[in-house]
Amino acid sequence: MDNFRLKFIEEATDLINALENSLLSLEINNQNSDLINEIFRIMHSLKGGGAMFGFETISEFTHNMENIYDEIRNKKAKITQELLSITLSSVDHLRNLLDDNLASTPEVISNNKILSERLIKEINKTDKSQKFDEKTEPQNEKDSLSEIKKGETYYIFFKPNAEIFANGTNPLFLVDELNSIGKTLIFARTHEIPELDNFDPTRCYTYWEIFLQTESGLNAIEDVFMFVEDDSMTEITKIGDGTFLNDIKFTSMIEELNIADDSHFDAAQIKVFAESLSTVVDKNTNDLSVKDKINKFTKEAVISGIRVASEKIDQYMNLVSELVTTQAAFKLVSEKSGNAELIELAENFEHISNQLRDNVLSMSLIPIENTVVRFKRLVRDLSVEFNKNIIFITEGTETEIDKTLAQALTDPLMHILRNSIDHGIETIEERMKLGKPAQGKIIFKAYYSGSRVFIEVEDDGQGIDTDKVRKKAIEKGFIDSATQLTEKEALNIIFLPGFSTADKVTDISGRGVGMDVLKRKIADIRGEIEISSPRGKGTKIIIKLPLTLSILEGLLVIINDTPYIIPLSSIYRIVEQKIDDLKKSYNNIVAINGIQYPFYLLREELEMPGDYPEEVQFIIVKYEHTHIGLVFDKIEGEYQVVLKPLGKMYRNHEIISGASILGNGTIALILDTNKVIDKFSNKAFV
Amino acid sequence: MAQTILIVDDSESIREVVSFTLENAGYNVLVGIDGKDAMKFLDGKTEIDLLITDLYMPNMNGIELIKAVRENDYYKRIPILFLTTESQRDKKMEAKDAGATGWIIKPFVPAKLLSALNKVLR
Repeated sequence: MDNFRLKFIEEATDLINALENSLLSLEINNQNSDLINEIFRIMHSLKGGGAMFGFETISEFTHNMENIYDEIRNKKAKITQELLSITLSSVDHLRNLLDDNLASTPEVISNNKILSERLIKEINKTDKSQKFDEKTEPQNEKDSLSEIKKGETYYIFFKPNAEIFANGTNPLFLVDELNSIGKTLIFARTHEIPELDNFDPTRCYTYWEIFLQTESGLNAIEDVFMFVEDDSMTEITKIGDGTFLNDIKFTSMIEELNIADDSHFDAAQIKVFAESLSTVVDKNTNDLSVKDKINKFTKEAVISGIRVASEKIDQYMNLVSELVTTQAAFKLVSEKSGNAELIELAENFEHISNQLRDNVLSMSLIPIENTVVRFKRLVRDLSVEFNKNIIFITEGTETEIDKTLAQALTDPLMHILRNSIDHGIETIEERMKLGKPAQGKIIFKAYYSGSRVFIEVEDDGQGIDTDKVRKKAIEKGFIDSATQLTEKEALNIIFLPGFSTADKVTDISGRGVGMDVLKRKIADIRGEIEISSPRGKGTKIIIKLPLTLSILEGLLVIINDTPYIIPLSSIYRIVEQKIDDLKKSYNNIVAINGIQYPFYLLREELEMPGDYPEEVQFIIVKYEHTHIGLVFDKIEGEYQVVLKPLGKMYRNHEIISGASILGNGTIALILDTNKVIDKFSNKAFV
Repeated sequence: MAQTILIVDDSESIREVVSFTLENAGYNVLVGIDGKDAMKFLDGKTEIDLLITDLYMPNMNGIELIKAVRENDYYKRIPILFLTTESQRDKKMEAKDAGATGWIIKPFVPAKLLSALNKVLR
């Protein structure tokens, strides 16, 4: 609601400015009825919006202003200089009311009182015969103020106006709604339907007689007929307190009375009969109240979910990861002890804590639907703005994803959609010329693939012109004119920092946020982005994400007895190398199976003491669209890491993305290989 | 197939609250910023199952819009709800006479909006 509130403040500020403008024009030209209507309309908007978004004072205050201008609009009152000056000071006052900090100050509160009184005085001046405080009008929608009732039985006669279909009402919905607030016995009377020759399908010939047993009270029944009470015939008669429809004597009596289709129940007669039954019914209600209790109980038992603050889940997650760590340490100790009983206990403990971990992980997942809802709106608004006709199709929005991931995804996805609408999909005329359907298509798909979530955004627009990309890349010096590029390589150029092919910068996609930022943002959440674009047929972007950010499949590696973890997802290959070969190599590039890999000797780069062993682990990781080697002493093995954030002091550390506690209590740092390479290469090559 | 609701209001915040509520309830939502803007949806091709409109709007007000819908051969049978405040009793009758099905009283909470919807749409 807070977002809407902010939006309202923005909008109300505009409205108040517009109001001030119109008032100033009115001062010069005080007969202009358009201006007066405009002023009234603005006041009305402020009043309605104020009430919706929690600015009750504004709503009450503008109510008085609105009343005065309503009178003026209806020519029942005149504009005076005094009135205008009160209204203008009211405008200033409204501005203060809109500011939460100012609105509660004593000056503003007293000012509110003074101005309201002056406005009311003006109202009374304009027309004394009418009383204005209509706000005290009884409200129809009382929030179930009626005391708890065991159940009442009503007889309802509902004969819709024959023209009821003309204003879009379906009387069956109303009958159905009655059915939803209690138990019903419904008789549809159809004998007034004429012969086919005289039958007019736009008229309603049917009427209903309904017995309703409900706990919701008369208000709820009247509420059902709220929209039709003025032009249809509705009679509601209370038969009595008690659940008569549960009583076979009562229902069989009604069936007996219902001898023909055109019979008409006599409510008074039924009431008398019900009274004679009520002693019996009283006894029944006692039984029923037990039954009701059971019903209530089962109702409560089927609640499908509860809302939990996300901090609580974070906390839970944190505790579980502590537990998992402690459990690992426990297991180690028990194995060392050789005590069979203890080892068995430790294994059980491990089993349970693993289940607990999986359980808490599933809790922090939310369906991607929540994120997609707002995209629908975006696509609609932008397609209007660009004069394009676009249909937005979503698939697999029930796919669940970590809530932090879902949040982090919103901006990148918006960006992709903007690009599709602005640059991808052609205008209606262009599409017609190309023989494509006038309506462009954007398909949004989400699905699981292994332990990852894939999100695809595909449009059927013009695709990316790789010739253009190539030309621009040469212009900008990313490649030289002799470079041969595959279609895929050419496409990947758009992800390079500082590259943008848009011929002109538009408001929508030309915000200076390029595809490189997009890629970085996706990489930040350990995702990958892929693009394909068959020329002229559209563009497809695939984002591959981990299911969660709190658990990482990692490889435990060692340099100088210090453990590090590398995310498994960033590893391409692992080979053993002789350290001498690496040291002898020219310019830190080594050829393995005929492919050249640049590499870093991390022991040296990280300034760790000592020397590499003779045989070292050459881990080839993915970086941008190349592969680069990182050299470690040895590999411990695969490791499922529960991610722990580093403390405040280390938050901005460049190459470490987090830490984890190993089973023996040692802390292992998680290396962000992309950033490691960024740092040591000084971005010398791409 | 989700049902489509056209919401017309000159206030962006109201539009957003209503469309947010409706989209979350699984409806398709079309949006018009005033009566005139909303007319573009009445093209005989756009499927509209319900119209929700404000009454006071620039260019073309709610009453005029309701009348226009009722005169449109494609859309004259759709239910129409209008947004109003408790104090606007005369306006309520005027809108009903113009052909509106029912109303929603501002301020409203999502539950109230959906319950009004329930009276006119299945």
